[in-house]
Amino acid sequence: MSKKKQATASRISDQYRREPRFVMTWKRLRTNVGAIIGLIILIVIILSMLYSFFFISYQDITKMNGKNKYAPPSWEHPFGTDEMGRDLFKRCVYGSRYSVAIAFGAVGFGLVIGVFFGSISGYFGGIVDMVIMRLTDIISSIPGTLLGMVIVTILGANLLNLLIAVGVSCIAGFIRLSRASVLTVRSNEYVEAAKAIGMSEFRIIFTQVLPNSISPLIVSATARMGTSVLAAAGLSFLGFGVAVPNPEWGALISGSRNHLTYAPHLCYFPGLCIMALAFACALLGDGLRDALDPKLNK
Amino acid sequence: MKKALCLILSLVLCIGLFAGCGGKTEAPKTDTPATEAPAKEEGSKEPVLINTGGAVTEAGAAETTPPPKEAEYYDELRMYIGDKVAIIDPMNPAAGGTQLGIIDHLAYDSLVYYTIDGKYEPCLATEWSANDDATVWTFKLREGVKFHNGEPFTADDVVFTEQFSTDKDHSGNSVGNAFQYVDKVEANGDYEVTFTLSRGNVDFIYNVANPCTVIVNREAYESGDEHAGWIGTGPFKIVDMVPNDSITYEAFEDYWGEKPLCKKFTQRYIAEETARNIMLENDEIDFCNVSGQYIKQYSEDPRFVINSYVMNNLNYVAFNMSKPITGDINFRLACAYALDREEILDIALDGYGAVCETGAYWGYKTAYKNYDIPAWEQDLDKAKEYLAKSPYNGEKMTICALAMPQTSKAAQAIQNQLANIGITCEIETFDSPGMVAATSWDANDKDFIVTSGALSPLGDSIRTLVTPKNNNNKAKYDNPEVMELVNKAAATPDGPERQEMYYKIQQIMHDELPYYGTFHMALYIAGQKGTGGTIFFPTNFHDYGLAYRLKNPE
Amino acid sequence: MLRYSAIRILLLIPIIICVTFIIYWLVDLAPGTVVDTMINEDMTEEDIAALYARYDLDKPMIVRYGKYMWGLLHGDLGSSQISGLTVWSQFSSRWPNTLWLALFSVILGTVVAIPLGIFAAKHAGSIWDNLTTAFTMIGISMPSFWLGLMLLIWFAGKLKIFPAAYDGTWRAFVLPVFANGFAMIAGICRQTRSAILEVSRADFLRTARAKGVPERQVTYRHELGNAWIPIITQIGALIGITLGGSAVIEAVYSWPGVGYMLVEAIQRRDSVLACGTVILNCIIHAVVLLAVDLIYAAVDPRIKSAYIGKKKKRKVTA
Repeated sequence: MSKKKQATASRISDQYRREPRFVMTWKRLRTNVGAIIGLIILIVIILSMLYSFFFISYQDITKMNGKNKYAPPSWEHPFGTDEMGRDLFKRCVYGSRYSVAIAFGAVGFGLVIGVFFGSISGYFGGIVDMVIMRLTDIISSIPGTLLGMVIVTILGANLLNLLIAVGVSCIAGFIRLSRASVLTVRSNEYVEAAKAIGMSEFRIIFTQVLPNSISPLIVSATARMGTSVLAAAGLSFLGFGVAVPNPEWGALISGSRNHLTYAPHLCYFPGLCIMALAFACALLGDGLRDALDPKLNK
Repeated sequence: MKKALCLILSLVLCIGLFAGCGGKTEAPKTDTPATEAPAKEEGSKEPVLINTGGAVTEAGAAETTPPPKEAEYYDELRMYIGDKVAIIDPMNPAAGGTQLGIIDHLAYDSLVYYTIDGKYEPCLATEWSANDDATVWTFKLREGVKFHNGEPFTADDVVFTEQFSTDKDHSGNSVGNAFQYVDKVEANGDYEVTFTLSRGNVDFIYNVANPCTVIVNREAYESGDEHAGWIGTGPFKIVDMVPNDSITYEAFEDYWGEKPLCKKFTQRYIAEETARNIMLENDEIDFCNVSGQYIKQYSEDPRFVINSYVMNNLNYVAFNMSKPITGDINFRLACAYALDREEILDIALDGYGAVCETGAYWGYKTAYKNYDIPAWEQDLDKAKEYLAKSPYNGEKMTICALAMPQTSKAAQAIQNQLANIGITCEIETFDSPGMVAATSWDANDKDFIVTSGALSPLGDSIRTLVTPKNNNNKAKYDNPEVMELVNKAAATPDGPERQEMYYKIQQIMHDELPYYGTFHMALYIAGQKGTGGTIFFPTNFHDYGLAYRLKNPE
Repeated sequence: MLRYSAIRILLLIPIIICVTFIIYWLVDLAPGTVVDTMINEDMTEEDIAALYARYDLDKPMIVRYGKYMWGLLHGDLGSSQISGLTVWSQFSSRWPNTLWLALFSVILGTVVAIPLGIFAAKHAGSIWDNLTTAFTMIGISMPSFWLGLMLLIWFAGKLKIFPAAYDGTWRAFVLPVFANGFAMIAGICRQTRSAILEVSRADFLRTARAKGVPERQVTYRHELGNAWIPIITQIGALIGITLGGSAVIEAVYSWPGVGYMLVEAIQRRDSVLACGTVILNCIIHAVVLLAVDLIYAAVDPRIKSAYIGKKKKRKVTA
């Protein structure tokens, strides 16, 4: 094949190639105001997290001041101070890293494991499918909160373990979802074609089947990010979260419980932070669902 | 665009709603500045005890005003309890001391009553005597006492209580502890009982008078009734119980002593501190433990009376003596000079407690406390000097803390103060079984352990903290000399000789510093105006037997 | 249909066996044992050893699990290692509180959410629709325990309208039901809206309108009638979850329910109580899901005919 011919071919294909899916989705997403608001909130939270990495030290969030406890919000302390005289604003900003890590990490953890087993189950079918699905039934019949509590108790209270605890409870959902989407894709011609040219099974799953069944996963994962943040906050609230003095938002609310009537700001602000993050994820998930929905293509 | 406007509008509305709430609540807050630490305000090291309902006795306990005669009382009293009660059965190890402390004085009686002044008064036993070497103890029992199931109280019940509680199948219950060294127990007729001890124990009377050492009914237990453990001889009988939630009592008509002033008594466990304060405010409960800023609020409010006492227990930092760094005396001294107990107390309990007064580990009112041992004062220069001499080289240390508000806050204060001299620490928190597992003698690999130690008024309560291989010995402290002194002191009758031994123990523990005492917690119990008649013991075994609430307080 | 239900219930058995093993094993892995919460300063080493032996903690976990399963096989859920009370008595004394809380929350959610969802779908794209969407989004992103605390401060603390903790009266239900039901309103409302929108494109609606059926009847009979399935699925799932008890709401309102009981069981390493509660929760959950399936058949003639169709076919072949 000559070079010239190749060049022409590529030019032609350029001309006729559809816009990449990512661009198309983005274009649709851009028109969805809710999703954009969600995205902006998410970006603000991520930026403040990045800010905290460089400008807020561990010293800043642990430095106590016994003379300025329970101070209401002021210019100096925008969110007021807590029961040990620490600046709540800095603690909330610093705490964003935990919730963001959980939003992405726990869901990522669940997604990777869920998609792996789900696609194997859907693709191979038969006994593999049955075993994996029964295991999924079992995992999903243990209440998520209980599983989370036990995992944190066993592994110890820190971020990674909280992340695993929350991630484990989303595995079952992702297994079912990815299995279902793989099942719909499996019988397509391009999969047959790939089989015909002798691709290995795993390669087929990961290069042919998964990319074509990913939309529902993306939508579900984004929505799941919001619920994971809430689940982690709930675990922290019950005392199964990160260790003190790390300012995880759920733990901050939990710590404020004994001072509610005279220092309610200790409860308001971390709660609003959790809400903002979960709200952003929910909006974004909703927007993505609309943008990726083939029925709305027209 | 409309859509955007809408979304933003609703968001702002929602946030505004809560922010608005915030604004409004902060307004009254400025009237009572909650920012000053009460301990500092007083300008002294004395604990801030507030007793608007009565006087504090010498023993550190609070006794409220006795009931006035010819007054009208409320029929029902409602009380909040700080611990979940899962089971009522003095013979079950699962019903630990804290749980029984809530119930014991109400539903049961001991042979002897230990008053808050530290005296022994007749209770189920009217007289008692011991032989010279304190091995044979004889108790004359009260006649005409009835159990809640109607059975008469006789010497047989005492014998049964002793035998049942020390039986292997029931080991670990809180009654049996008192009878550990009892060889033989005999009933001489219906109203006299004799204990023969395997070794002389002058403190036996204390063990018997311990509110934990209750007398139970043989018939109730032998009938195999599910609620056999509910049967006692106390002023109230238990009529209902929801595990981990509430207990309901009724006044016992056939009580041998002074009859209760109310007809019904309920105790409820309420997890949320805010909820119980709201309930107290709304007059839904009569007695309630309060903490932090609420103490100040209620002590200034004429609608409530408040009583307080300092607990005997000591919150402490244990240095793990088996680790190379914390095992080094210079390092421990550096820590001792770096810590500031006043600040730890202020952070952990908003200053409502008592800082550890001496430089040794000893209970607040435990006998033979050596007040001459100077307490450690914060001195950062000295601390840095000692730190330079120690093998510490910027390693990350672990502070292991019990996941309770006071201990985890204290751990944070300690972490902060150690950071001042350049010791970096990381905090790990555990729930109570996790703590036991993590700090048991074999497994303990933490550097600092921050928790609270239970200490009785007896000097011997130091024993488990210094006994090698004991899981309560969080510092992994192993000093044969101390052990020998503890054993010797336990066998010595009260007197200067015993005092000298206990003083010596405290001196050694001050010099070697396995434990650094931080503070004693103070408990504050608020009651509605007109309540009284209660006796609050520093051991937490409160006596609500004659509690009352006046219908028309003056 | 009976046969179908029986199979569904029987399928639970292997799941329960595996679930109990996992819970038992995990609680065993957690540091500390049930005995560690009972130890006090006065106990001697022998006392402690005897205690360990009494709870079989000196033997491997599999022995304890075997004993537990042997009891279970005989229909004995065991007794709580802490309180000595049977798991059944402890569960059944607390479960009504959880049940009422769950039911009232779901009723609140349904009653408010379905009209709201229909309303939003009818005005799709308008400002009202967007306001409803924003409201539901806030609802699902608000931590229920936080809402619970807010309601506690305001309605129990400041305004003193409702009690702060469970006292057995209906007034005590208001705050927890609202805190619990708020997220449900949001969830059901969204589901209703999208289900109705989905149906609204159907041809039979055009037919109905063309033949002059009043709009109200079109909405409630034709649209809602065909949109029930996803809504019922959502409600069923919510009932299933809330019947297990919401630990955080129960913690906030000192609610004597089964959710917080499970937290306590874990905190004190009471594996028997934890297992028993989870088993009962599993059964309840399965029954609810089965009921949802049967309700499908009741509301949707298509599904009902599928069941009956199967039966007939079988008869023919037999």
